[in-house]
Amino acid sequence: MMMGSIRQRLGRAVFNWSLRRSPRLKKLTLSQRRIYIVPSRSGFVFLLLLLIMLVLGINFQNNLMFAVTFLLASLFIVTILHTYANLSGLTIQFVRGHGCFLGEQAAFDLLLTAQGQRQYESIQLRLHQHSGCAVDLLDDRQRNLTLYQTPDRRGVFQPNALLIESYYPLGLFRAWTWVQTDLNALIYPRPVAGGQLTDLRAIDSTNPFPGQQSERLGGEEFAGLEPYQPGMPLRRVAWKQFARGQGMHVKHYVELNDERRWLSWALWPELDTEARLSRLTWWVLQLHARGDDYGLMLPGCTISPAQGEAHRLRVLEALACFGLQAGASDATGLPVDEVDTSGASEVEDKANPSTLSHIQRQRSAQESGL
Amino acid sequence: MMPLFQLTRSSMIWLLVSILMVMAPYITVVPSWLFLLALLTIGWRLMVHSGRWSFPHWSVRLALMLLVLIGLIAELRQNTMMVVTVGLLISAFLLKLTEMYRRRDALVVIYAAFLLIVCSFLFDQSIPMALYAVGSLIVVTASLNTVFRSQQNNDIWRPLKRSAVLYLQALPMMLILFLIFPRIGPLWQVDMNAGQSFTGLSDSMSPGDVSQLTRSADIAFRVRFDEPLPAEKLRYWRGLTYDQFDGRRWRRSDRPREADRQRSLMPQYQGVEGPSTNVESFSYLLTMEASGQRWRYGLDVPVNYPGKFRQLDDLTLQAGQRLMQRQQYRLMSRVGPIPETLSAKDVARYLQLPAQGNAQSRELALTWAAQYSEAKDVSAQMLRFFATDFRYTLEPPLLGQTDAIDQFLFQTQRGFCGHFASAGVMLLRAAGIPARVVGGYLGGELNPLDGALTVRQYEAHAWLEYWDKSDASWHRLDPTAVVAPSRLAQSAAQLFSTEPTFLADAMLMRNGFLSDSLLKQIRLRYEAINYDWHRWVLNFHERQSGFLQQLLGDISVLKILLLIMFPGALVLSWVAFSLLRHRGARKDKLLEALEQLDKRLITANLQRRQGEAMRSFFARLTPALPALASEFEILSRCYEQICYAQDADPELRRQFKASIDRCCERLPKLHPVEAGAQGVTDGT
Repeated sequence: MMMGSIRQRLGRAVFNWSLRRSPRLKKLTLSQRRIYIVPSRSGFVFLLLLLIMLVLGINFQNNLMFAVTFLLASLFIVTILHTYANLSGLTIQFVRGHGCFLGEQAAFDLLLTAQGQRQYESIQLRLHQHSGCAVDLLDDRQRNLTLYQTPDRRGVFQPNALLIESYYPLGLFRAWTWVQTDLNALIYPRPVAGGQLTDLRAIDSTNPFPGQQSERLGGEEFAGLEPYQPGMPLRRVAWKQFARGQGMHVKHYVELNDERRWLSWALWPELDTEARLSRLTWWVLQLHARGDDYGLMLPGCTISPAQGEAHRLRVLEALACFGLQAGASDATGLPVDEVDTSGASEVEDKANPSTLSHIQRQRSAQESGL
Repeated sequence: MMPLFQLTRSSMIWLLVSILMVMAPYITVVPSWLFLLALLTIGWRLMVHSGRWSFPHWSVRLALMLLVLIGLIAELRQNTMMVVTVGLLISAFLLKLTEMYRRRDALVVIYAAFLLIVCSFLFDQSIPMALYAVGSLIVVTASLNTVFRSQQNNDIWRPLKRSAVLYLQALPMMLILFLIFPRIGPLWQVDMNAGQSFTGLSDSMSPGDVSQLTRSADIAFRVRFDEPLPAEKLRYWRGLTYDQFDGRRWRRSDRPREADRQRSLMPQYQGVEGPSTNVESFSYLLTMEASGQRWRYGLDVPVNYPGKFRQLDDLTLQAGQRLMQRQQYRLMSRVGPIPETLSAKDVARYLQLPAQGNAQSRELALTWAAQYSEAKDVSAQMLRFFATDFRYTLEPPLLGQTDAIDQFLFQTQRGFCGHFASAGVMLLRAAGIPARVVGGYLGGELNPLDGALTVRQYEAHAWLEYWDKSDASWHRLDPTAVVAPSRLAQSAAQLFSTEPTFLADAMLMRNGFLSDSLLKQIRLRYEAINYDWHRWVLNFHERQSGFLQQLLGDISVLKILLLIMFPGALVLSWVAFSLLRHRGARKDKLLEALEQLDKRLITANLQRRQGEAMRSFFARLTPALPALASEFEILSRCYEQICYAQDADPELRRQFKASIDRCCERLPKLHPVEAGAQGVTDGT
């Protein structure tokens, strides 16, 4: 118990010291300045085994026992170099963090690059204690991988220091390093269902921008022709024009829609801040899926109704950062926008409600590979 | 909920191979039911691995464990503690297989395998065994490697290669450690191999015992002389003397006394009158096989011997412990009579005979005693007696319980050296001459390849020594020499080759299989290597200090440290270099050629941009260098054909290269442009 606590404290001290001397970097190549190496627990057991063998050798005056003991002892020493070489020269690039909803796992993309023709085996990367993945870089020189961490609150989330470790080849030594990842992910509030569509209508009367209409696809009004692209529904093809030899077109219908909805902070006064944000987030997803126009009104932040992916992200971002210190996102030196626009296209399909299961699928695939 | 540690296929294969390899040397040692256990547990583990069975229930494991414990305790009655301990280790190792869930469990099995490899040297230390152990080490290490590999990597041979490389790199340092590590005496007394049976002489002898030894071709000891070898008739290897006779068996006295340390043998011997040409001394290195006995063999009378031995008053050597392992020692011996002044008590001891029995023999002896006064005349008379009608044979007729010597001397008259020696001593003692039976070996086969003499069990011999009070010395007398004079001149192998029981336990040697010229050469070569193996490896602890002195001169801590540090550092830096050497990725030939062009373009800031596709690169160049437009067209076409259409036609590569060369030739002198002036339009 006592030993355990000393061990833990020592481990923490080394960890903090190591982080102090490693600034956040976009890209980093592991070298002797970074890699720590000590015998692992099984390495110490191995030393004990060697001691037993040595005593056997001495007691039976058996020189072959001595020989094997010494062979294993030098193996132990040579392994230091092999374990160290299994990390050194490896380059890690922090590519991007993917936003997610609170309760999901934030994904962070990394790129590992081998040095020259060297081969790396069984390198373990972990952001936190219980999950991680093991990577080989044998024939391929580069490898993309995604690590996951469950954020504990909304807003700009920075993952833990990344632990890169290796026990290869014989598990006698543990070579490791901690790296401060230069990655951020925007964590949106957890979507929680609640409220009625009619609640939003009720607020409609307070619409500060009345009279604006938006077009919505798939309505009744004929809006014109557009060139046919493979995959467009055949029943909407303008066959008449096609028969006249004017090329293949589809008829484009829109629905004129003036149901611009406002998601307002004031909607559900009975809920506390996080619950309100959660409900608003859920409605953002709903309205986005319906293709409605929606706007957001938060204290100190108003986003006029619009639709589309960029709009959705803007709204979600506002929800994510609501009430947090303005400095929170500046502290990283990166404007929040930059974080999620860089991953915009990925975020698009990750942020729909099936994301959670998608990520979990990925994660379980990673873990089964451990 | 413990995550199930699923061994990869390669891990499983290597683990099973290592278990089989590690257990194989124990086949002859541990009880055979342990191998049944091995089959059971390995089979079960395989079934678990293939998903057909589950791990055995804890009650099954407990039952197995109890059964094994009971079995091992039962074995304790027949086997030694050592064997049972090893058996315990093996069964723990096997039972662990049935509960190997996690990586840690696999590690327990692998570490136990390392320990078992080391323990197998308790039972066999031959060269093949050592090589085999190296093989096992590599395989066990390979399976250790598989445990620490990522699960996706299932390449079956890679761990073996990796492990072999590791051992190659570890080898130099191991040699240094082996040479330097101080060999200290055992930390505590271990009684190993008690109960193991040895062939060889024992501390009591009945006449037929020696002929039993001729069934075996086992090696008793090997000798390498510094100088020329002693003549064949002088190669009497004394082991022990028997002085107590009970009518049937000869024993050595219960408490052998130590020789008087002050008794200086060499000078005193030279002072004795007699043909001084007999005085010969030999120094030699003797490697004795495990005999389970405390005496050590030496040529005739050892005068110089290691301090750990005692010399008894019969001038044989005695060590503190039973010899359970091959041992090497250096001796100097001299050949010839052994001077000793016997006290009255000693004379009585060497005249001891049973109170009655063998009346006929006693009578004969008394007539000789009346006839001759000198001991050497009596002994000569005895030899003449033996020379008459006696025959030397490995299969003498059985003798009765009483008056066995009478029966031998006057009825059967056929016997082996033991019979002659024992009857001879009995006759001399009856005639009042102190005498004793000597047990040892006679002869030895010379290996011309390394000059070593190999003495085998079938060369076991018994002769006698009598004390002549006229010169106060013991003299050797070998009745066998007169009965079968050829025994001294030729090897026992030649002499007995027609006797059916000779080498009955070593058929290969007996049938001349190993005495054919070619095979004999091979056998001799093997024995020569084996001898060096024993001398340099198995007995290195005996030679270490001498060797280090030879290597370093005076041994000092500094020198030892340097000897460790310098080669150690050298080896490690070589390993580090080979591991960490920055080997650039192999470049594509096309890109290499393209680089030539790129270098020329760099002045005009026209070089290829990071990530720029080949076609757009050349498209960008075309307006800048219109003269080369056609070449650029060729280049981009070739490149795309090679890289994207996977066209392996070497002609394309040749074209590409030629076109690059033409471009470089015809490239006009480019003027440096300010960065940005031209580059900014196409760079993004």
